[in-house]
Amino acid sequence: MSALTDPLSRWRARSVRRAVAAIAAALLLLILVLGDLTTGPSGMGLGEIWHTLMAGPQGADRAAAAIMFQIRLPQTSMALIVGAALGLAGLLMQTILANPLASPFTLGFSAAAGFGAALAIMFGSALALPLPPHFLTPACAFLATLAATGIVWLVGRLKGTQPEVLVLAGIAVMFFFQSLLSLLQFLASPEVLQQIVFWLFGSLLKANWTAVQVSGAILLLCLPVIARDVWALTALRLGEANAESLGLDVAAVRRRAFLTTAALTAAAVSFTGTIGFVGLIAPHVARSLVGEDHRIALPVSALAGAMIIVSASIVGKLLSSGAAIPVGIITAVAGIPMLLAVILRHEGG
Amino acid sequence: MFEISGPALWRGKSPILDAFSFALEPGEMLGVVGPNGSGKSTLLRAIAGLSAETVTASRLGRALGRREISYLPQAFAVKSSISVLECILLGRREDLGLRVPATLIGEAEALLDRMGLAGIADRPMSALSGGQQQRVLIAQRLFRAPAPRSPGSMMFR
Repeated sequence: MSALTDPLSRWRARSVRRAVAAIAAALLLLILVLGDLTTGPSGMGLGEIWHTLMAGPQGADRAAAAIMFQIRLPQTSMALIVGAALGLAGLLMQTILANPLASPFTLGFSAAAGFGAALAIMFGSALALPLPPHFLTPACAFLATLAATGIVWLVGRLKGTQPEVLVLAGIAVMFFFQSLLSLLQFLASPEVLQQIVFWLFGSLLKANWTAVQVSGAILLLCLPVIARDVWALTALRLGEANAESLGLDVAAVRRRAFLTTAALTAAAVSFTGTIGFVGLIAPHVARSLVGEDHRIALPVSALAGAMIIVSASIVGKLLSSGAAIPVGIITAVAGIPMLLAVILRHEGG
Repeated sequence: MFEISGPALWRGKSPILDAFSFALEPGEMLGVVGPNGSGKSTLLRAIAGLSAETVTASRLGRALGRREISYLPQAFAVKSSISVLECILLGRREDLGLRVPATLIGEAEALLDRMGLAGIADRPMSALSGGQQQRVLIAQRLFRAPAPRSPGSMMFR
């Protein structure tokens, strides 16, 4: 066993173990995706799923093709995109703010999205815009998120990008948009209020191919920006003072990561509504599995986020087969014990 | 011979130090002494190139690049679980791609050997004592420096 007593071999063996863990996570996600595709009010077995997928959207079995390509596939794709986006955004936030409690929602982006959506639901029909409502609501949610980003950005420009400044600005933005949202809810008629509340739940039922394409495109555009900074982000884990003295422009890295997070969060929540806790837990799962090297922690955090949402989707459909329970509710309820388990297993954070 | 000179240093709107210049012979060590808040850290940060003011440092008349000046900030605790070897590699963050070149790992290993840190290469930083952490962070800076240098050319605080 001399190979294992040598520190460098131990280090290599650990790198291999981490790669294996990432591959295992990807395989588990694949199994969950198949599970998600087979669950639903009209039961379909794995064989049937395979035939329907192979036959394509124009397949002979019209009912099966419609269920697969109009309902299940867009929902599962959306679950993957939202989970990956929130997982990535969560790890970026926790790293640049050096805070294990940070999440994509820390800077108030989701509250802003909720306000934008409520605004569209309440006044969209009165404006008589040429846009259909199922597109106007996400567009407004997206714009409101950008507004929130702008406010936090401006504060960061004026006062510097220290974590405390950004967190305080984010909390201020969050309360501001939450109050505006409460005001809208107070003013809304009961029917409109119901629609707003339903939007806020965070549900994959709103998924369609347009949503998948827009969110997927934003996620893809963010990947190269994140990939460029992987080592800079890892260096930040050693502390800001150290990273800075090694010639890293910490403020620039923070600003890039913060804009990426805004784009990812907006992409995730604009179409589906608020899905809590994923962005908080996925990074903890990733760090406890593969450590803090962001080359592997970022992809694993994305995988973990996707796994959580796909699992929530399966559970939501199993618990109530008629109208699936929104994933936002399931992730929030299941998230708390998961978070506690992670904290207890890994007290370092 | 090292020559270092800079303008008056400011922190926000308050003046900290007047314009300064000094020279050091090879192998010479300089301790900067003064009461708390008199600007010792401000001076070192400025020399390291971390302040708004530009300090020029030159060796035998040739201006030194930013990477040729190593600076270790005042003692701070590393809470990260990054391993010692990865910490050393981060000294050359710019040279690391999605794959770490094998030659860099070899160089890092040699440096750890020289610094007497080879035995803890795979330990997480958070598990080390404060002194060990400082030693690893000094090694990180030696790894970053462009050419091997004699210990005497470093400035200690």
